[in-house]
Amino acid sequence: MNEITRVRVMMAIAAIVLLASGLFVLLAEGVNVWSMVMFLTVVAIAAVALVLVVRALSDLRSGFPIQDERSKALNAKAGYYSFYLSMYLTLALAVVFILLEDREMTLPNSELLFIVVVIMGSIHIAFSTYLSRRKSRGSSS
Amino acid sequence: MKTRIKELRARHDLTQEELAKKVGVRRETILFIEKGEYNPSLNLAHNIAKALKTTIDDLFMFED
Repeated sequence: MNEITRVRVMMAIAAIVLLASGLFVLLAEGVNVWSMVMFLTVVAIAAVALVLVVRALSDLRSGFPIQDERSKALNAKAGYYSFYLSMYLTLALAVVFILLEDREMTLPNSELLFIVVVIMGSIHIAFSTYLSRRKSRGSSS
Repeated sequence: MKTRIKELRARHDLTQEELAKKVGVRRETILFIEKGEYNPSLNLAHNIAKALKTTIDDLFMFED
């Protein structure tokens, strides 16, 4: 699969996911403050994804690859760090909600899942940005 | 590790973008290699050396 086809497939998958999440948020819960927050987050993610896709396509047209050995290595490292950090944060969140459950102050599962996914995504973006600006020792480090 | 990429690139009248396109990487990768902030793989080092008509030994200097 060449890079343009890969970008198109990713765009199609992202569009389906965003559409499904938007419909889920609007139809499942009805319109309240929380559903609006979720919907706006989905719209923000879509906007960021659109900017990234436009940038990737313009790079491709100029003859640069979307990813090279350095960006692949950084992405893998960011994924590794964000996996562990999100795991600990999710664990901490679970403990907080178990404690809050006794006081009947918990959130529905769908909203908790949404929070966890947003935390994971944000941590990955933060690590990718940080690592891409920082000195790295090599392709394997 | 020090590198002579910048010097040889200037000698061949190549910009960072042109060299990046020649070896199939992003411009930032060439920038970080030139600054000594990224160690390329052996394969990339070979491709850069080839693009600059030199050898890996001549391009990269390792400090003990």
